[in-house]
Amino acid sequence: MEMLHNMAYGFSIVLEPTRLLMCLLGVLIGTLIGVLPGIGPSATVAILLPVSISMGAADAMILLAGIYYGSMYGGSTTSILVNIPGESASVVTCIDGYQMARQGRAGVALGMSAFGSFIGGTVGVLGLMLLAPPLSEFALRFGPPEYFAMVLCGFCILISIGSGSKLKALLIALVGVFLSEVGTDLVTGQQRFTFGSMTLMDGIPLVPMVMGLFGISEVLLNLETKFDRIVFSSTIKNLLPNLEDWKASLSPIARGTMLGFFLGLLPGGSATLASFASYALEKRVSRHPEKFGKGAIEGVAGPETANNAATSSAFIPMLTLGIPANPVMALIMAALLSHGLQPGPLLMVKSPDVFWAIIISMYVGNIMLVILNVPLIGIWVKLLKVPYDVLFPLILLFCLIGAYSTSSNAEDVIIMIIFGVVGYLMRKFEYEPVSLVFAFILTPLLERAFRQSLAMSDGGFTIFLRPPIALAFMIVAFILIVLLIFPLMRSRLSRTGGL
Amino acid sequence: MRRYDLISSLVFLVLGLVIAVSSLRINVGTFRDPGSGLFPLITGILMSIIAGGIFIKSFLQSISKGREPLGKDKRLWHNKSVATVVIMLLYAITIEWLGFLTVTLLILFVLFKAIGGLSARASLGGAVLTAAVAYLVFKVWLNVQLPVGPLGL
Repeated sequence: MEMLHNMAYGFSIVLEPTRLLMCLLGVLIGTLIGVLPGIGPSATVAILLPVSISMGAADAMILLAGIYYGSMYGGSTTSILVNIPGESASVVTCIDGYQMARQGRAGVALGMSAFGSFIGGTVGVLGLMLLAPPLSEFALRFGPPEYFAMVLCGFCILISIGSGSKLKALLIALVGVFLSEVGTDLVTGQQRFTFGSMTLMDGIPLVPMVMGLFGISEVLLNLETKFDRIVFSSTIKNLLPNLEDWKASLSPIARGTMLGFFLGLLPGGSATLASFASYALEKRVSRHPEKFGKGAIEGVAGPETANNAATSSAFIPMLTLGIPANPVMALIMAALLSHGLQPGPLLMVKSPDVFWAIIISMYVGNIMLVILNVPLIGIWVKLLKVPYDVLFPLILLFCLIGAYSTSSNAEDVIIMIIFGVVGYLMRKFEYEPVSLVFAFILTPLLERAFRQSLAMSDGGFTIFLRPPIALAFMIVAFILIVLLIFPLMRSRLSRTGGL
Repeated sequence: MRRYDLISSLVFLVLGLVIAVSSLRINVGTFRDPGSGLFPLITGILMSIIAGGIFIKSFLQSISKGREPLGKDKRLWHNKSVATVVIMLLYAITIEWLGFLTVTLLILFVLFKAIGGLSARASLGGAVLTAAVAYLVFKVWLNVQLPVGPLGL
């Protein structure tokens, strides 16, 4: 009953004309940047963050959330029609989506992708609505030891599930830890690594850093890439899948929803990971795995559902625990903070309007997307023909204005450019910026909880093992560390011939 | 990638050591009563250990495969990327002197013409149109605080 009351409250906020407009604007911008290769949701949310500060909190959150889940819908269009993913969560859709387009089934692939996205997104929001309130209440019991153990566990999960070298992920996370330590220590008031800079006394600003790492670096890399944007099919027909397509897709959609929802909850468990995991799962359980890569609709339905379910569930740890699961959530969290709202267990109690506006706007946004996406595909296809040489100065200009407007300070622009170069080099050297940003955001929480815990226990370390919740997180963290170290040691021993 | 791994791990190894040594100048405290320098000290030490591990691993892998540790790798910098970074830096340095509109117009023209390879007329048209739209949206509509130059724009 309370749930229905909360839903009605959320709808009463979201259905106001200005909020509906924000939702529409958010999903349209999201779809647009999802369609266009070279600019992803992290960069877009970072660019619009300064603008969102001048809006009301609920309006801003509805807009930014819309950009995030809208980009998941848009990303599949380029994957299917051009074989270039609009953003990373749609990389895997290229495999079978493009093959379907080559077989004259581009419409069905796009249609199934839109329906799968809608189902995954909507079920994900339902899960968010059901899980978030009890989790918020549960998190109210958390003290500093529980927070320390939870964040430590989050770090271990991030390193464990990340793609590529675990050592490199750990190393770059430590760089993020260091960067977050720059500035004034809030406990002692001492300066750390500020080198006398007034700008650095408040720490490295998050928004210019993220804009640089994701927005600028992406543009710099794309300047070196030649996009062959040959749109496979400019006239899309038969967007509605037939009964056979639905039969083949229903189970992948169901599995994709579950898998995506679970992976979205984990720190670092992005929509990209969800789509890859779903594709691997579908191929494994399929009776005809040989059809994958040759235009199997399951290879489109599963991943596209999973990435949308993951975007919805990624809001749960951020809204209820104040822990962002991915960089976009970190930026949305930064937007909440700049509106004077503290994400975490008290958000639902202190600002129910914003909390329920975000959740309910996602229902409304998903409906808007499925209605708008299908008829607008023709326009998105035309947009794909805009050359990158015209597009990139506009993206750069948005970044430059965005960075400057965060505090009307040219030093922020320089910080963004520096991190743009850092991000560019990191990608060339195969280091993931996600680990850096995640560590940057969570370290202050980790350090504060660590020091507060020790102050509470008079320096006794058993405080991290005494509360049952903290103990549970510590055990999980320990298991993950063992699982992380064991394969590294085993591969080393096997190379050297063993003991 | 091995050459890149060697270079990057060496950079992080040095960075870790610098962080660790610098943090000793800040009050480190003890584990039971941590000061401001304890977290940076641990971070620096861990960074050096892991970077050292990556360096040794990459070095040994290169040797075991009979390759030069510093073999040829893919190109690191491209002219377009370097030029774009320089243009953006000039934007950051001059925006408060010359004002938003003037600097925006100039860098857009250079980006369209020199990096994008558009014709002079198309670059000028694109720059004027984009700068005007940006001014109207950010300065007039959204009321973003942007610097005004000597021309009052």
